[in-house]
Amino acid sequence: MALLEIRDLRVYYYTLLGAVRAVDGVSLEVERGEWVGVVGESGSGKSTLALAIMRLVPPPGRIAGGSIVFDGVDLTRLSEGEMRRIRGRRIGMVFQDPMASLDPVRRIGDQIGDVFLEHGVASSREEARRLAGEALEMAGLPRDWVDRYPHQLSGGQRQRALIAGAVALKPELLIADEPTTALDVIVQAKIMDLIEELKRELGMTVILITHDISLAAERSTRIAVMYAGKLVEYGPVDAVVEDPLHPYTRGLLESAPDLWGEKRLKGIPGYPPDLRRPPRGCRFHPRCPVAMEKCREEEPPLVRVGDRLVACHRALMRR
Amino acid sequence: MPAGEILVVEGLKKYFVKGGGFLGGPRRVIKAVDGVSFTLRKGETIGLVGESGSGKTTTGRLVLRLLEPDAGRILFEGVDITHLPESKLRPMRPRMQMIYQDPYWSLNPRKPVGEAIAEPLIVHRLASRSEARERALELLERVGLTPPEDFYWRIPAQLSGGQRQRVVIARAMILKPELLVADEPVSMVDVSMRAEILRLLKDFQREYGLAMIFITHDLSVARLVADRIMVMYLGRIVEAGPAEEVLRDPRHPYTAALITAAPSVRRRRRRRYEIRGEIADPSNIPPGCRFHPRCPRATERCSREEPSLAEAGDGRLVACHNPLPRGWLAKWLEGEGQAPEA
Repeated sequence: MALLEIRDLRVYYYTLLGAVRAVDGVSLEVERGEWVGVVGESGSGKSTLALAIMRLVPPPGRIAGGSIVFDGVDLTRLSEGEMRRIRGRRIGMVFQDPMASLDPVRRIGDQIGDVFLEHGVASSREEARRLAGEALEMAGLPRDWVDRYPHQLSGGQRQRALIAGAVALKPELLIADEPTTALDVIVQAKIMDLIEELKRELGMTVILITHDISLAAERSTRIAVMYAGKLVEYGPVDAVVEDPLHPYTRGLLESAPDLWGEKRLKGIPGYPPDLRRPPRGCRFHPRCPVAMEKCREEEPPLVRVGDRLVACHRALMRR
Repeated sequence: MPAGEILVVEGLKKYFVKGGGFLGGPRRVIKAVDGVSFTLRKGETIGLVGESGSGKTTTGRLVLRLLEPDAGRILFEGVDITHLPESKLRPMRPRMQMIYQDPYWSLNPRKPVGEAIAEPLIVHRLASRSEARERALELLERVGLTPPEDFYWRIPAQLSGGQRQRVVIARAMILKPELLVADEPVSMVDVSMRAEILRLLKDFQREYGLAMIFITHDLSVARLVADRIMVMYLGRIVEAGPAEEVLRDPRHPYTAALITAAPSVRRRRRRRYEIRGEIADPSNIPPGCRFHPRCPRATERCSREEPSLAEAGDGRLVACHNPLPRGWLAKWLEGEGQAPEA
């Protein structure tokens, strides 16, 4: 059984101007021990997907349908109290901006220590701080930095502290949403090393959410590509980046500048759609270089092609 | 000044003082730019590359006199503008433009974007209101915001990030500048729309013979636009040279670390050249070579003596006592050469 099984998930934001269908019928399975890279641009729904798994979608958004089965339990059906026992303990999460996720006036050790107290792992502040020290050490920071405040740490060190908090209770799944976007490349590579190392040591499964297909390609076992609230392609990393089936995946790869790639950048014409009024048929068709009549009329289903999933009429013809 | 040079910068410095006064905390001097020299030719693009805190943005703002330099000299078209009073600078302003990373904050949220594009012509008294409007419509068309009559009256909130950056480019280009400083112009634009923005900049460059300083933290973007690359670290240039050569055969250990750390689909399992720690606080610059505490090749000399930017052959400049040998990167990627100590 897969560790995570998302079925036909729909997450809508109910605004005055209509429902924004941020995630609209996404199905995705993640096996234990995998590192899945979820790639997409702004408005693709990748961050909303992460928030939905944690049941942290902010109002006016909510899960409008579908299921998220984690280790046999449908998270969409749990009460907030039941979900709280899973969050932080069985599923850890790291966000993009380490400064926004930390309280500037509390010591690092107390902030990481909270997770031990919340889950009843520590019975006193003292014990929580001691465990926080161990967690910091696991993330490559000195144990006695429990006494430091966030501003005394560099950007990379703050992200390490947050990762320490996220993995402190040895979760089975770690969701990292753009964890290195605010960091420089050298620090980014080191944070990725840390996540990889922790994954191995703790036997975790990792979901990395990123706009950067190059970053996702480097460590993932599988890559999921999202566009305008839909999963358009999902498969083993080598297959997806070397022989993309979906024209959007191809376009994204050709748009990513690469020190060892082509010196000409291609890009994708046009703009992503308004998710209050997504285009009929395939949501990518207005920007697709190989769109056919059918693409304007009929939404392509997500179909298994070998060890891959793809939602494209053209790709299905090709096979 | 030799023909063809539009900008000559010599020994440029900018220090910021933080704190010190009443309730201001301890006084710290931030050496944002600490002795930068370079020359930019007409029609040329320099990719100014570095991490946050390297001083690349401050350098860009200094050469346009958007900040007052503390030391050094700036010659624009042979005219020393280092300390030129604003009244004398004003007529030169249209010839030098800047575009910023975040198109949202560089536009007035209530002003129709067409008016924003026309504004510089009116402010500099280069056209009447109706002429300026005509030109703005042409520019909207030119940057792909069509039909222009429709886009003219929209406000920034009604545009996507990529569309806003097009507006910002149109506004800078309406003055037909000779020098453009573009500060991370695509880093907030979605990946699939970056190529189009870069192409626009290059088209304008060809048409106007524009010289460009393209500031970016991303070497793979610099490679696409730059003729030459200058790598900055803690307020200084550590390596400079023809773009493709710097990227294929870096001589400074810091450049090598940046290159091998850049995420890549093409070389997913490449060998990284690792360096220690993170960039230092620019108010507390290490003695000697400012990179030495992180450098795998540092010797005793590096902790004492600051290396100057010196000729290393074939137009390459390197500030390093112990540079990497020629052809080092290719060998490193093939697995030769010792890994730096952890």
